[in-house]
Amino acid sequence: MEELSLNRRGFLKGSLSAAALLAMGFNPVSVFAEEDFVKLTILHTNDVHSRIDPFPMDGSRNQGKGGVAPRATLINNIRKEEKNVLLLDAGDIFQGTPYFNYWGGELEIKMMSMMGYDAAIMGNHDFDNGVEGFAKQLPHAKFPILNANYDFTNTTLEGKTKGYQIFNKGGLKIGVYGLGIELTGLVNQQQYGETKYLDPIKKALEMERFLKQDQKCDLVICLSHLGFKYRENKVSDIVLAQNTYFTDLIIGGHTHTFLNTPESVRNLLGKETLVNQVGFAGINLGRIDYIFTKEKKKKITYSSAIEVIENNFKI
Amino acid sequence: MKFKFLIVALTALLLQACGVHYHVKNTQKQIYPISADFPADVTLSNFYKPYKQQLDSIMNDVVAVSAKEIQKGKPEAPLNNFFADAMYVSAKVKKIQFDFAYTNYGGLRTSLPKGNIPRYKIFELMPFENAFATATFSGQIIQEFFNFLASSGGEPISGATFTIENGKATDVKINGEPINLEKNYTILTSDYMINGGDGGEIFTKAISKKVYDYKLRDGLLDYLSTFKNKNQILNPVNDGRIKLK
Repeated sequence: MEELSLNRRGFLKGSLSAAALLAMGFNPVSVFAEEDFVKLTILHTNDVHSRIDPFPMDGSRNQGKGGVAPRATLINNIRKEEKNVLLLDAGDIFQGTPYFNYWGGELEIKMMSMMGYDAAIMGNHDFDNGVEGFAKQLPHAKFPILNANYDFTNTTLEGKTKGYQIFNKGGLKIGVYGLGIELTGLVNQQQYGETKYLDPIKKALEMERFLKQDQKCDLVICLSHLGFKYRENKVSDIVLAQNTYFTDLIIGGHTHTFLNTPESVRNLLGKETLVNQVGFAGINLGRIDYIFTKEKKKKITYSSAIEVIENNFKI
Repeated sequence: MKFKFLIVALTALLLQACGVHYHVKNTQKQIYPISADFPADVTLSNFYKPYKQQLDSIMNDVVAVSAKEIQKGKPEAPLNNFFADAMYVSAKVKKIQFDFAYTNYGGLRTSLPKGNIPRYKIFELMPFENAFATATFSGQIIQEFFNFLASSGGEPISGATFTIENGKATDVKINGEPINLEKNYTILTSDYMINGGDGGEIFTKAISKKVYDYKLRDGLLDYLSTFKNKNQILNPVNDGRIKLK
């Protein structure tokens, strides 16, 4: 028992600089007993806007950037290195290149399925061919469309999207829910039809409580197309992060915001919620790695004990 | 003392094996810029190759030649002026009745390159299937309309000029004349805007609206063909149609 405890001390000391371990290409199998850590890799895009080819080499700012085929290579390479990968998209899959004008998003959705996307949400431009236009491409999606705050009753999308999805990865339970932007004033009614927009904050509180408290998810992610932040008083990812309790990560879109590192926001529990967004057109693939430690489910308080001790051991 | 607590806590942890709960230990974030230099995934590139070839055969013809890269900006910019002027000219050719042209700044989706402009660039600049539309306002409301244009720092217009002063429009002139409150004015824009798109609630105050069977993108292409036919180089400039004070 003594020896075991000492080993455990070493493990805790080592874990103090988990960031450094990550930077060195942290491998839980070789460094520690596998069951001590689980690593989750979240990959994400937003506002890809039908950008299938890389930007052409015409001297413009983004020339040579983006492209589904290079992105797929990168994703495949990461999947070879990491066991637990979630690949997510925060909406505006459609509209922006002639691929959409000619095939209505069929290629975009088919190739997202081929890349193994786990979930996506609808952005405002995903309504550009109407609710029917999106519904038409849905059979090509091998991943769920998550939109908790759009009520599609009496539209062709009724019953074809979900509010949330729970993923099980390496023993982890990850809850993902989706939020869309207000359509009035952005999308013409002839496109969104009878779709009803529901208050995103209210819906987020409902979703996160369900995923965290009822479903006991280890991580709660919001896929959002609300936009990063606004000068005027309008709901955004930042506002959402400040007004929720259990959402650990918000992957955003709409404002085409290029963030080099995610924004850290204090939520209603005073804890950190990360907000990320990686520009547009598939120029960037975002990646966030979470390392989880295992604890006893019954005695959740142990987690805080370990936190305190870590601080004492800080080198 | 705390160390002892640690031992106790850890022992408890070790002794209880079932019912595992996870706790976030650490996070790391990374961005991967994606570029064509990166090896392409063969499965995907083979999958979309036939579609690409089909598009390349119809989208790569040169529709105009530009003297420079044409970019958008505020309060006005060469791309804004090109777009609004193209709407103005093409709609006049189609005998659509209006006083001045306006489109939403957010609807300009990409810049145009210097040199050859291939057809697909016009699709990327104007990917939407929006049609030309007009909305008629009373002279009383038209000042409010220009305030709407000023509130966002300037929008693409043609056939009118104004100055932005403290977020409001002053010195408004429509085809060189100040606003006549007794007169009605007709704005050329898109069906997207007259239906209240991009914050266009003001269009609910229009006396009448009309949608034409003529796409904005076709209007741009028709305008460009006049340059091509005359062997003219496209070179839109800022001409002070929107000033800042």
